[in-house]
Amino acid sequence: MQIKLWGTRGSIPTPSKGQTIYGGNTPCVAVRTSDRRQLILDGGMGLHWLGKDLLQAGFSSGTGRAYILLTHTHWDHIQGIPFCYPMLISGNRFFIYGCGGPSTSMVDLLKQQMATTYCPVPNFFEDLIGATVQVENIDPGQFAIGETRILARQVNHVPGAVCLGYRLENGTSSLAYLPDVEYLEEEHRQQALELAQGVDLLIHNAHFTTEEYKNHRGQGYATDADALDIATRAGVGRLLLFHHHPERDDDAIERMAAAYADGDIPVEAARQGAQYTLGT
Amino acid sequence: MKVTFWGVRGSFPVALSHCMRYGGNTPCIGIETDTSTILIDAGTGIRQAGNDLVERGIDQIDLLISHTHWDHVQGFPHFAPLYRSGTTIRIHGLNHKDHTLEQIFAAQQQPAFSAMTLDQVEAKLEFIALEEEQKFSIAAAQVQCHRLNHPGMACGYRIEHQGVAFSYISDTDLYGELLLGDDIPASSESEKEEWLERLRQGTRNLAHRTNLMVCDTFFLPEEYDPGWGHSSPDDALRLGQETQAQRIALFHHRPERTDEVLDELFAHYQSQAPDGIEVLIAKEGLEVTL
Repeated sequence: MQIKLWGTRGSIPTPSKGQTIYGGNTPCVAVRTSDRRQLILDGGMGLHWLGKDLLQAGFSSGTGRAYILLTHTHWDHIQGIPFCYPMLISGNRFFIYGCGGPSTSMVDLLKQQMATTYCPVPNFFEDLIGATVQVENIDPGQFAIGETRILARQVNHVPGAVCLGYRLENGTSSLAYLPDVEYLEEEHRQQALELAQGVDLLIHNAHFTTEEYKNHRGQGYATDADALDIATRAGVGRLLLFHHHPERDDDAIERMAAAYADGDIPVEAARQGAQYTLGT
Repeated sequence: MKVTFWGVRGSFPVALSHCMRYGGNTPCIGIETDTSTILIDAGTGIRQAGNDLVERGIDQIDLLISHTHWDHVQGFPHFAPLYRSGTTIRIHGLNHKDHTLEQIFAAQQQPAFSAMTLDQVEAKLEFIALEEEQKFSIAAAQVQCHRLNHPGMACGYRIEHQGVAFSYISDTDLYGELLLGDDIPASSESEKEEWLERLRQGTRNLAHRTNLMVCDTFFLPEEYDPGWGHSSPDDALRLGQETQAQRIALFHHRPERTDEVLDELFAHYQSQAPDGIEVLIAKEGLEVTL
C-alpha cells in the first residue's frame, strides 16, 4: 500500500505561518492498494488537493474511480468534498462509505453540505450532475474493496456523532486509521486494539497533551500517550500522531513526537505531504 | 476606525506554504471604533480574530454576515468568544426565503456536523435579521447594508464613524448579469434590468466616497465566468472610480493565487490605479487605520 497524507490537522483548517511543516489541512489520507485501487480515508480539506492530484491520473477524462471511507460527518472530515473537482467531472465514479448520523443517513448529511444556502458548487450527489457518486451506509464489521479487506469498528467520540475507525489489509501490509477517538474508560480501548493489532502503520488521534487533557475530558479526543499505549499494546510497526490541535505549531508538534524518540516503536508526527510504502 | 484583515481568501481555506504571506484563511475582517467591535464574516480567519478578542477581554461583539456560503461562516464554531460566559455576540444578516439566519447557523452546528451545538455555547447570541436595504447603528457607528449580485443572495456593508467611512463589497458580480436565485419575482427582461440597476445603485451608495473599500476580486478579467457572482480587480477599480473611493483593497483571493502571483497582481493594479485612488491588496494581518 502507498500512503500519502493530504490533511493532518484537527477541527478546522489552519493556514498559519508557524504550521506549514505539519500542515493546516483537515484529515484526508490517500491509500493506493496493490490492486491499483484508489482508497481515501476521510474528506477533510486535504481532499481538495488530492482531487487536483487525481486529475493527473485519469480523473480529468472521466475514467477515474475512487473509494472514500468516512469515519464520521464532523466538518473537518467532510468539508473538502464540495471542492474535490474530479467529482464535478461526468464519468468518474466515487463510492463513499460511512455510517451517517444517529438519525440521518449519510447521503442526506452530505447533500446538506451541498445545499445552495451554503454552497455554490453544483450538487454532484444528484443524478445527472458531475461524477456518479454512490453513498453507502455501512454497519461496523468487515467488507472488501477489491483485494483490500476492511474492518470498521465504532469508536467513542462525542455524543451525537457515530464515529468509526478502520483497519485496512492489503496483500501483506496493514494500516489502522483512528483519527478521532476518546478513551473515557478502558472498555473504549478494545475496538482500537482490535483495529490496530499488529498493523504496519497506525494513524492515531493525538489532539491533546496529557496536561491539556485534564481540562478537556469528554471532548472526544485522545492524547499522544493514549496513542502510544494503543500502539504498544497492539504491537504496531510505526505510529503517526494525527489530528493536530489547531493552535499547535510546528515546533510544539515536533516536540510532541520527539519525546518518543528512544522508544521501541518508531513514532512520528503526521506531516502534510508525507508518504509511506507498506509491504511490497 | 481600525480595520484588521483576519482572512482574505475566497472559496476555501488554503493551507499551503507558498500562500502564507497573503494568507489562506477565508474571509473575516475586524472593524474597531472607540465604542464598538465589529467583525464582518465568519470564515476561518475568525478563529484568530476570536483569540485576539478574548485576549483583550472584549465581550460585546457585532458580527455582520455577507452571506452563508461556507467560506463566510465555516469558522464560527471555532470562534473563542462563543465559549466565554458574559460575552454577547449579535449576528446580523439576511434571512433566506426558507430559512432564517439563525436556522442556518444552528444547522451548521447540528450534532452530526459539530461537537458543539449553538444552544451549548456560553456566550449570549442574538440574531438580527436585516432587510435587503437598511440603515442601523452599532453604538456610535452607522451601518448601512444592501443586497449584492451573488447567487443565493449576499449583502454588502458600509460603516461610518466620526466622519470616516468603510465599505465591504463581497461577494458580488459588479457588472455582470443578474444573479439572484429563485426568490426574485423578476420575470421579464425589463424587470431584470430594473433589479440589476437597483443592485448597482445600492452598491454604489455603499461604496460612495469610502476611505477604504474592500472589494471581491476573485477573477482576473480573462478568467471571468458568469454565474459564480464574483468580480475582477478591473471591476473594483471601475467601481472605485465611479464612487470616488479613497483606497481599494483587492480581496477574496482565488485559492490558486500564490504569494508570487498576488505580488504581480498587486504591482500591476497599483500601476493601473486611477488618479486619487490608492490600491491595496488584502493580506492576512494587515491593519489599516482610517
